[in-house]
Amino acid sequence: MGSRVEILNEGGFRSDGRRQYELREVTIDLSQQGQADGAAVITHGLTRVMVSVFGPREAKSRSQTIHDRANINVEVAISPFSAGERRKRSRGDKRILEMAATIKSTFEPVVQTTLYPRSQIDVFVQVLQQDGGVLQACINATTLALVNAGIPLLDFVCAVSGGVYSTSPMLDLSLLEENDLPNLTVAVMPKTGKFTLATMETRLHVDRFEDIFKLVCSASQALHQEMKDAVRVRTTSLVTAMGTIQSNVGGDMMMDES
Amino acid sequence: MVKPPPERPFEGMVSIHSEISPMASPEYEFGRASEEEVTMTRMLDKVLRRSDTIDKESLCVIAGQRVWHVRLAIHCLSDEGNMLDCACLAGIVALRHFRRPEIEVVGDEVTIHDPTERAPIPLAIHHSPFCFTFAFFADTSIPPILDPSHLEQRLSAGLVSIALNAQREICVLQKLGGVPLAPDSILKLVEIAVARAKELDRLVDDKLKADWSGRRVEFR
Repeated sequence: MGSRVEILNEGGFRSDGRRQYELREVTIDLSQQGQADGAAVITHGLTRVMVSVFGPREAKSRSQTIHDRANINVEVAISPFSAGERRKRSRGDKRILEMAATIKSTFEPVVQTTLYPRSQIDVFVQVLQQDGGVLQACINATTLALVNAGIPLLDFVCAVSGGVYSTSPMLDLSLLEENDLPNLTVAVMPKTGKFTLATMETRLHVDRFEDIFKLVCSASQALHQEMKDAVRVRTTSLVTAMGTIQSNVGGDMMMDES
Repeated sequence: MVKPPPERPFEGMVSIHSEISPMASPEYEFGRASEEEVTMTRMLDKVLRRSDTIDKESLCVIAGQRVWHVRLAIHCLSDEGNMLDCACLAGIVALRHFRRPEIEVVGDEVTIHDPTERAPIPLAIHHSPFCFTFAFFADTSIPPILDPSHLEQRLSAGLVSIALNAQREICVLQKLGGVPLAPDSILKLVEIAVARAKELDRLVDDKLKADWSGRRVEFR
């Protein structure tokens, strides 16, 4: 076989030892960060994203005030050390602006902005390490940070990426796979099974698209479980720390709200 | 004709410039790119450049030294909704209609033949993607509509853009926020877009052929 990396070898394993439908390891850290009202660090394999949420608070300027709902302000920063090649991206970079706009519009229908008129919710996304699936990590981290900040959401938003290697669909692509394969990212609201975001940038046949799309939708359910558990653990530990409510009962009660 | 960047010595360059002036619609301000505009520019870039529409290697003249640089400028004259689809269609037709002067390479010497001297040749194009935008409304009893007008676009609660070619390949699919949709509905939209793409492809082919037949290549 020589030096060429196989995307999917004959044994059905991918370059990083995963199976076709296997997601990378997900770790979620919801601990407090500085002054932020809510924060989350999520890692998908080697991709790591940190999100801090401030608000809802008074809008900074008149122009950002919307009289009947809150304005969601998303800022994305990609650390120069996050990729293999050190590269500084300015804040005005088209790709970054687009990503911020994508995250913003993904969450606008999900966050109950109407509860906070004339205010602003700031979401700061910091990409710490990139190894494929940056957008999905950003969206998942934002969901968790919003939940952590206690901002009312209609549902979780779980994003998963997927790709197709010749005819076999694969989930959660690493950077190596992302560069070679047609890939898409879908953000699903697991309770209703509807999706708020879907992007694809590479050529893919319509029939293949159908397979991978359905697969990604079902994979998001697994991720939802993972995220829900993390929130539950965090809430329980907070409740025990406060020592006011019995940990078991209190933990369950808090979960019903989120 | 320019010098290629060192990381891609065998590929020509394609750059897309889109200009939306306040002439198109009073909504656009001069000098400042709105969010809508950024999305549109990025989408054009994805559809026409990133999906490998043009064979960039065929634009190479001498590897590492000289390549063609194709510049596609899109001017939006007036916006009555769904400017993206229109701009994509205009872009792809322009690329297919464009003919570059023929060149001759002898050793390191490059001669560019004037169009009056030798017939210019078309660009090598892999496929022609067409973009279709659907608008959704907050009221779910209203079905999604294709090619929304300006008013419909303002009233809509979400847009889905699908770019695909006549070979049933999706090049770009974009749904950014808006009303959440059921997975089945998007597959339905894709089917509709596939049929439309075939129609549009035929139309563009016919028009280009008709235009070409009106032009004469003289042999002297």
